[in-house]
Amino acid sequence: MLAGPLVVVVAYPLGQLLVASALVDRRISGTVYTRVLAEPDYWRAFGHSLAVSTAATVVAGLIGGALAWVVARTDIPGWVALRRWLVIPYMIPPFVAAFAWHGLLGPAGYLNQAYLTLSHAGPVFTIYGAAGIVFVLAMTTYPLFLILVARALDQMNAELEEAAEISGASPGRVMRDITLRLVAPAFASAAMLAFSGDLSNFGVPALLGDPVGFRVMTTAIYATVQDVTVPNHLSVAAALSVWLALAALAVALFQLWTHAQGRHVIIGGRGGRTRPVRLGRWSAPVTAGAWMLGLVTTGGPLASLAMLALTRAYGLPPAWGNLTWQHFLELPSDPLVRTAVTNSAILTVAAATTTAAIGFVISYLRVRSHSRFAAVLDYVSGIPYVIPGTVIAIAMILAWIQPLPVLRVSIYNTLWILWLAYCARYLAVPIRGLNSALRQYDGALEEAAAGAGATPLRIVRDVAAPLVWGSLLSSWLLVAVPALNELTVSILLYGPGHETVGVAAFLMIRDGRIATAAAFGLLMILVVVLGDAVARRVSRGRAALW
Amino acid sequence: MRRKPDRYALIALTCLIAVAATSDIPVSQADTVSGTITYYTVKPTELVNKVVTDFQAKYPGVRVEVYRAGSGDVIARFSAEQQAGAIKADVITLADRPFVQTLARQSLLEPVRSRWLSSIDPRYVYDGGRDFETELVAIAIGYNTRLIQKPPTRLKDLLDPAYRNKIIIPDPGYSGAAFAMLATLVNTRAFGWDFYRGLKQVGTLVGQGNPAAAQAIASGERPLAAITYGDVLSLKQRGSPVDIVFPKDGLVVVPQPTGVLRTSHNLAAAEAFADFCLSPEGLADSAAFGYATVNPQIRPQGLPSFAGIPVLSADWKTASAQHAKFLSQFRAIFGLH
Repeated sequence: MLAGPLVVVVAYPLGQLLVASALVDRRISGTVYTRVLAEPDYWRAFGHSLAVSTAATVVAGLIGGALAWVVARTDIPGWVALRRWLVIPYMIPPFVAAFAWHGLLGPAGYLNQAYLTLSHAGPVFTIYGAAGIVFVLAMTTYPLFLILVARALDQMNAELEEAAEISGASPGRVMRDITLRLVAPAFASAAMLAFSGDLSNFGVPALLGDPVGFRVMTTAIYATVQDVTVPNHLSVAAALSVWLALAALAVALFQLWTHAQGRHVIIGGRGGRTRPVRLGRWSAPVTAGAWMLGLVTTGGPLASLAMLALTRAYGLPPAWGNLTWQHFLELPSDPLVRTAVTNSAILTVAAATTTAAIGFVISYLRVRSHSRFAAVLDYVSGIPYVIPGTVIAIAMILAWIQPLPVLRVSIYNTLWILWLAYCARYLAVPIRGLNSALRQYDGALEEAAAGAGATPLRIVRDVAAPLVWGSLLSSWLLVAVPALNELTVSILLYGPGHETVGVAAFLMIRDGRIATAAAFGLLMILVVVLGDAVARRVSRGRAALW
Repeated sequence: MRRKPDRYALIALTCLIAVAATSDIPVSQADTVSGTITYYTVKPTELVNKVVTDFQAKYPGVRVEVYRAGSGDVIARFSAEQQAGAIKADVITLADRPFVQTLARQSLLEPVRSRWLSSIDPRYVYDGGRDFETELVAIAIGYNTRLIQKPPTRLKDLLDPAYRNKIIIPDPGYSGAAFAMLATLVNTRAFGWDFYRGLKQVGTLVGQGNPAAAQAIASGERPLAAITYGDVLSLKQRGSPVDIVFPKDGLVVVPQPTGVLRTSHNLAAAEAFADFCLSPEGLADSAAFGYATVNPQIRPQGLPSFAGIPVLSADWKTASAQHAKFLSQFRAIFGLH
C-alpha cells in the first residue's frame, strides 16, 4: 500500500518513458534511438547543454566562492547585511531573471540604449545566445556557492589555519593547502547542485536561446513535443528525455562516487569564533567591490523589472511622464493572473501537503524500522529529484494521456497531472529533511510509549510527529515556495484554464505583454522572499530556502 | 377566383418558413446556457480577454477557458488531443485555413447557426457554413515611430540595404499568418523565394510569433517588421511608439477562420460563444482593437485604408500540400534548423 503512491508518481511514469522511447508502432525497436542519435541537431543541443551548464557553474563558483571567503573570513564591514543582500538573486526565478536581464542587456535594453546614446558603435553586449544564458544562470546560482561555502568556512576550525601560519606557511600556502582543501566538499556539492540545476533549466534558454536558434536539451525536448510534423514525436521526446536523464544521473553518481572516495574531509569541530582576515588597505576596494556586485546582481534585475512594469507602454523611454501604476492595478482583474494564482495556490498546498505526508511515512519507516523495503522506497523517491523536470513532465504525459481504465477520463489537461508531477518532483525534499531530523532522536521515546501500551498510530501522533514538527513544517515550505513558481514541468503539462503562475508569466513574456509580465514577476519575487522569511521564522533559522 | 387561396397559401407558407427558420436558430438565451467551454485561439491575448469578458458578462453561467498560442502550437495541442481521442477545444480559431478546412471535411465542425450570419459579408463564411471569419487579418509593415521616420511603403522596400539588421519577421513554423505570407509570396511572380533570400541578405531576424515581433518593434530591438497589423495596433493603443503601413505592392490577406467543434460536450454554450463573436457586440471588441471586421457596419477608427491595394492570395491547395517543403526551404534560406 505504501508503494502505491510511489508507483503512481515515479515508477509507472518513468517506466512508460522507457517503453515509449523503445516502441515503434507497438513493437520493441531501437529505431527511435538510432534516429535520435544520428541527428546532429540533437548532439548539438546536448553539447550546448553541457557547455552552458559547465561554464555557468564555473563562473558562479568563482564569484560565489570569492564572495563566501570575503563574507566569512575577512573583517569586511557589514558582513551580516552583505550576506543577506548577496543571496537575493537566488530567490528570483531564473526565467524571470532572464527576462529582467533582457530588459537591461537585450539589443534594446536600458543599458544598451544608454550606451548607444554615448556611442553609436552598437550594443555593449547582447544577451541572446550562449553567453547570455551562461551569464543569467551564473547570476542566479552564484548564491548557492556563497551559502554553502560560507557555511563550511563558518564551521571550519580556524585553528588549523592558525597552526599552519605559526609553522611559517605563507598566506597563499594556507589558502591552497588548508582553506581550499577543507571547503572542497562544500564547493563540490554546490557545484553539483548548480550544474544539475543549469542542465535542467528550461526558462532561461527558452527566452534567450530560442530567438537566435540556440537550442539546449530541455528546449529541444519542448520543441519536439510541440512539433506534430515529426513522426512519432512523443517517442522522440521520450528518447531525448532518457538521454538527458542519463546525463543527470551520471552527475549524481559522480557525486556519490566522490563522496565514497573519501575525498571529502569531515570538517572538525568549531573552534570558537574564526579569526577574520584583516583586509587592511584592501578594505575599501573589497568592500566597495562586494557591495557593487550585490547592487548589480540584485539591484539590476529588480530595477529592470520595476522600470518595465512602471512604464506606461513598452518601448517608451524612461521618463517621469511615462510612469504609471496601471499595470500593477490591472493584475487582479487579468483573467490569466486570476486563473494562474488560484491554480498555483491549490497545487502548491496539495503538493506540499502530499509530499510531507508521504515523506513522513517513508522517512519514519526508513529511520526507525531499518527495513530494506523502506530503503528502496527512499531511493526510488530520490530519482525524480536528480532527473530534470522536463523528463518528469514527458513521463507524466506518456503515463497519463490515455483515459484511466475504469473512470474513462484522462487526467491529462487537468490539475491532477500537475499535482502528480509536482509530487514526484519534490518528494525527496521532505524525506531528506525528515531523515536527518528523525536521526537526531533515538527510538527510546517511542519505545517507552509502546511500553506504556500506546497504539502505533498514537505513537506517531503523540510522540514522533511532535518531535519533528518543525522539520515537517519547514520541508512543507521548502516544497511550497519553489512549487509556486514552477515552470519547467508546468509548461509541458498545463492545459487551458490550468495555467500556473510560472506558465502565466512565461506566456505573458512570449505574448509580448511585457509590462504585465514585469509587474507579475516582481510579485513572484516578493512571495518567495516572504516565503523564505516565514520558513526561517518557523524553523528558527534552521531551514531557509537554501 | 382561384388566385385568392393561392395567395393565402403563399402567406401561410411564408409564415411556416419563418417559424421553421426561427426555430432553427438556437435558443441560446443567456439563462439557459451554462457550464465551461474551451477556446483555442491565435488572436491577440488582450482581444481574446476582452471578448471573453464581454461574453461572460452576457452569459454569466458560462466560463470560457482560453488556450492562446501561434497556429503551430495550437495545432500541435489539438492534434495530440485528437489522436488521444479527447478533443478538449469547443471553439477554435486558427490562422491556418487548410487545417480548418480539413476539420470541416472530416465533419468535425458544427454548421454555424447564428442569427448574425446575414449581417456579415458572405465571402467570409467558408466550407458550407461550417466556419467563418470575424476580423480581417492582413500583413502590414509595422514600424517603431521613434526610430523610423519615413517608413517603407512597399514590401519590396524592405530589401533596401538601408534596413540592414532592422527587420524581424515571425516564424512561419509557429505563426499561421507568417506561413500564409510565405505561401502567398512564393506563389506571386513579383516576389517568389527571391524576396525571402533578399530579406535574409539584409540580416532579417526570424522571431517567434507576431506578438513577439510587435514587441521587438516597440522596444526598437528590430524597428521594422512584416507582421499582422492587429498585433501592432494593440500595442499602439497602449501607447507604444509603433504604427503600421499597408504595403502598396500587395496586401497579403490571412484567412483566420473560427469554427465550433462537433465533439463539444457543451454545444449550446459553444454555439452561443460563436454567435457572440459574430454579433455586433463581439465585433465591436475587434474593431476597438483596430481590426476591420466582417460586418461592413462595424469599422475600426483610424485604420489606414487598404482600398486599391492589390490583394495577393495563396494557392491554398498547393500551399497545404507543400507545407513541410515550404518550411524547410524557408529554414534553409535563413540557416535555421
